[in-house]
Amino acid sequence: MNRRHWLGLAGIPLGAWLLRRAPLSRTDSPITVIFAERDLDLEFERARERRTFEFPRDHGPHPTYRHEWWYFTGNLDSEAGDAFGFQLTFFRFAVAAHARAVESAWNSPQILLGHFALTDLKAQRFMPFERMSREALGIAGASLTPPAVWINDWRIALTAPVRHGWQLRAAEAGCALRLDVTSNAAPVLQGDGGLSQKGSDLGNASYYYSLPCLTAVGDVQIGAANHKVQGRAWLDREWGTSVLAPDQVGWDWFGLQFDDGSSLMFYCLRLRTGARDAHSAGTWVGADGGVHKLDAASTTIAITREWTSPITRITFPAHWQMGIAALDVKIEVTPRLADQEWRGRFRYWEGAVKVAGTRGSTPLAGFGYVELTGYT
Amino acid sequence: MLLWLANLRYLSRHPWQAGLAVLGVMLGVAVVTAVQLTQRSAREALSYTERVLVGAVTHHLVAQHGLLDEQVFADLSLAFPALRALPVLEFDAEVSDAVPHAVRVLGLDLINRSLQTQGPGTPSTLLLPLLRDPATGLVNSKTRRALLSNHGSTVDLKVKGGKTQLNFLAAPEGALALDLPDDLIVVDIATAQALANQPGKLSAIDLALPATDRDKLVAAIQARLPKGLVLRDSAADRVQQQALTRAFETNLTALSLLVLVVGMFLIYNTESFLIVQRKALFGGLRALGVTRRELLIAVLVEAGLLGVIASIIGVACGVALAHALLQLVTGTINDLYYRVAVTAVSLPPAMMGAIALGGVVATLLAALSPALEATRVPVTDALHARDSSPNAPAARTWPVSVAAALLALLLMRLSSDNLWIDYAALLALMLAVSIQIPGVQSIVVAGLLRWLRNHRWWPERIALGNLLRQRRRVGPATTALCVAAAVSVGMHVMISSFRLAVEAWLTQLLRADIYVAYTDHTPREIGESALAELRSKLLAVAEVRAVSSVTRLTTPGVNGPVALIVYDLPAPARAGIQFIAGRASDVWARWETTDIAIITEPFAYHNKLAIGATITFETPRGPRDFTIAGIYRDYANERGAVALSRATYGRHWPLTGYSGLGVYARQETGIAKLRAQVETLTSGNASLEIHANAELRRNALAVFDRTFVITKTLGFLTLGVSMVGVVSALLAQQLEQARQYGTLRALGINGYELARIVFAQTLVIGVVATVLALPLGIGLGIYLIRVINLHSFGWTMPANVAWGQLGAIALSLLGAALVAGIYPTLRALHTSPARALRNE
Repeated sequence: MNRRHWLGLAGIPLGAWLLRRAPLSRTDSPITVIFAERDLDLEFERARERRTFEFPRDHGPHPTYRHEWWYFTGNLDSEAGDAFGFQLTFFRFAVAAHARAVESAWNSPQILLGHFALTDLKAQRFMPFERMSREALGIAGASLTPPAVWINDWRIALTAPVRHGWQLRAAEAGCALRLDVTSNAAPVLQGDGGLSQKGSDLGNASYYYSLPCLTAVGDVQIGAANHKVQGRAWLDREWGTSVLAPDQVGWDWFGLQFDDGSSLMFYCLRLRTGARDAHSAGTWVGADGGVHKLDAASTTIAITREWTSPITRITFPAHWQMGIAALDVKIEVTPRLADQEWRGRFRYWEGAVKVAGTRGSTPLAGFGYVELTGYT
Repeated sequence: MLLWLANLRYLSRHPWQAGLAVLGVMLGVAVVTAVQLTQRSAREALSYTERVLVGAVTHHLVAQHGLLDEQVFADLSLAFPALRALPVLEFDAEVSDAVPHAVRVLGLDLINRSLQTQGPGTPSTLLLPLLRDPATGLVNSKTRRALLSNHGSTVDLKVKGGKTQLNFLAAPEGALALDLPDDLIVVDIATAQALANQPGKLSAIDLALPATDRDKLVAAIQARLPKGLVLRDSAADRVQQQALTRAFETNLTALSLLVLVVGMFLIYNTESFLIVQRKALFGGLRALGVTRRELLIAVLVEAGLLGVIASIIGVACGVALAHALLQLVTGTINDLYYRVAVTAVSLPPAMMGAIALGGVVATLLAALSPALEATRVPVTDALHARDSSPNAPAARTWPVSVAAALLALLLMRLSSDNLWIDYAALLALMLAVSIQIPGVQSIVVAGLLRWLRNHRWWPERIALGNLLRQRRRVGPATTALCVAAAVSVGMHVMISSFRLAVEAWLTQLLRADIYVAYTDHTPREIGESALAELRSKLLAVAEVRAVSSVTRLTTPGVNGPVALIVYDLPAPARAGIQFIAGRASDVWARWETTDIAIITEPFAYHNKLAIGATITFETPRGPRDFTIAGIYRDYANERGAVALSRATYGRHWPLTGYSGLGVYARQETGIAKLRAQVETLTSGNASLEIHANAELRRNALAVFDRTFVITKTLGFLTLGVSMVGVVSALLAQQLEQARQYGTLRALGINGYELARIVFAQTLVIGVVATVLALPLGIGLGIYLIRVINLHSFGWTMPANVAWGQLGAIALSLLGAALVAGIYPTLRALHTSPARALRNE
């Protein structure tokens, strides 16, 4: 799973995690509160066993599970040579499995939270934006036919079902993103055929698939400047009802795309003790589409540099050396911009990274996204 | 070193004197702190939605009549994705228990990015049940206790005659729940729509528009609005709200400034006292070689230290006092406006520091003159402890007075609406008068002395002689007492005049025998149609002579929304309108048939309108001019209102319902019977309420009285502060004469004669201060009415002096003067003549 995966993984939105250590702090948002309520889990369905994924249906929402997300990230280049990172994420959270018996159009248990960020690498600027709304009056929602999620004019919609093609639209004060993404490959089912176990308890899992190799074409607008861009994007989809185990504090998620067409996803669940949780896992997808499962034992990650936020004073890892012995892969991951920290309702780091290394004697290079949660 | 030790020992051996010095400064600082704190809190009293929204609410989108459709919110959200908009549905309801309790239900979209989830606002730990459970509301702990007196967590909520069950959330005790105003129930917008049985409806959309390009955005929003919706600038609305806050600030500022003036006199006296007492000590120190400079520094440092201690205690006391005053402010604001939360805000440390520093500086300034005097004590004189100061020539005060008076006149000419200039003029005027008080006192005393010359009342003659010789010491005490008393008198004159004017206005206005209106909880359309139905039934009742009606509306005007009153006034009701300008017969002759309007006095004042001017309103058929035919008295709305006849209104707008009805009985004796009939006609209609004329008047006056409770309280506080000061000042003056009393005792005068000397002096000071304070205070009151009130609110009223209250103030002043004589008398009596004479 990916990072959000992180979330997902533990099935925990990062907010919940934060809440546990800092009750009623700045991170005390509605979402964190909702996720703090474990009793609620009972009403919802849980990811207990493998399921058969069906597309395009599973691109749409699964409202009987407590939370779900559509997580687009990617690295883009303009014709003029400018480089950008982007994140457009929609979270769906339900406060209850069923609507209460109240006569009102506002009476929806579904809440949508959107995170949209652009990283302008030339200007070395990170521009994050957040929106939140309940699913009411058409202002925000998640639909099945066709699969689409939106909050006002932030919107993702499946436009080419066969090629898993999506249209992404988001705009906010002085920034806009208009992208069309398509995949030549089928979705990669993470974990055990799409069942991603986040802890040892039955049901402490989520359904998780990715489109790690999306081709992106479109525009990035910053201020008055409009940039025609193309590049690679990544979609992570996950839904479930579980929460982080008490001994888990957060996760580091890597979604890396190499120039040769291969990709690597790995999420590292961190324990309170500082150790890596045994449920940490990932997937290597070769250029030929061959899938290689990774686990905590088969993957090494060393943090070789740290960065401290000048605003929140939180220290995050900022450079990694990763090794996968079975594949003879050795890579180094470096943030393309140090400060890609989210400082809103949730505090986390999510940003564009550069990756370089070798597989055997062949050089490997590419870009990707990393998500770091649970740092304080 | 010796110098410091000596001073320290003196203070530690005379804790009373040190305490008095601290007390004077402390009281002044405390009152200033409390007033500042109270004002800040009152200013921060915003409606709940204003406080929970991120950024300031800049606009309210409302329907001209009734509620608006929630689809408007959806359309705006989609058309303006970045818009910070909060949908609101609020209504009144009643929690029905043994005693019905009126509450206000506020429904908000609790999942709204504009909503503040940190700081004050919806405590987000409580959010989930509000969103998930069918009828759950959040109240503060005080309201929760009040409403859940007996059992469980559920109450019966009565909305529009219907009943429903509401569950109260276990709001945690403490800061979060305290942020909610009393009697306010916050629910999710979905819950609110269900409780009110108004699915699809909102009462308002609150908007926080960005400052950049705001006008463009407003225009774009307005272009999309369906007919019947109004986008109101909340700054304009807030002007109205602030007018009230201004009423407080007007009164409170005046008081706190005057308290400061009184406080300065007080410090001066206390410092003089401390120095006079130590003349011998200072003389001794000088004889031992202490230089003047050293002595001056020592005295000033000592004053500064006392000032610091007193200021710190004063600020602390001020904070405590502010909490008490806040209760009064909250009551007033809630009476006059919608429910708001006035929570104690803390003064920024810098401001507290500034007030404390002000206290210290004031202490030093006041101490400077006595300190200089101390250094001038000649060594020999000091050793003999002879008072060397009394015969110093008095400084010329007339030029100061004349200059201050001229300044005051100039400022008054300058001022049109600026309250600060008004205050500056007031202070200049007070200065011009008060600086003459010592001189006036000396003239009076000299006159009395001359008159007594041929009488045998020698103790009194000694007393008057002392006063005359020590006029420089006595003058400030008299001045402080006089100024404080004048302030108190002025406040009383203003308040009692205001109250009488309001009472007279109400008496004339309320001509009908019975009034019917719909309750606050009732939605407008329901209330208006219930009244329309009742009106037609009433017209058929034999005992009813006439039915008047009023409809209150708000209509867009040139300078923001205008309160529009539509009157249907049958002949007996017309006598209730008191014209200040315009002839009643002219007005009534044309009232229904031509396009004339009458306007209230504040409306005329604020908009600078006179008879014959026109006022333009947008009607469905375009703009229409209405000629102003009369200006009438009205204390109900300080922003003012425009009144039209129902017939005139009906010619330009579609007629609307009624906000209230007045019923006139055919015979005076038939009122009880009429009331019974009206009650029968309205029975079963919980949305209507019936009031007899007298009830309505009583309620209005009760609100008035509550409004001025805080002003009165502060007025008394000022008087109290200055009395304490005066007692200490008189003490200082009397103690200074201990040696003289010792001599007299040695010469054989008895206790009775000694008491006569002491009390004659304090009484003369008390009488002079009182006699001067009465005219000065009445003048001050008139100034408050004619200038400050007019500029604040735009209404006039006849000045009225309540002599009974003034008599009480005068008596308390004389009482203070007498009390001040007790301790010196006792002290003189208990001092052995030998000891007193040792210094001779």
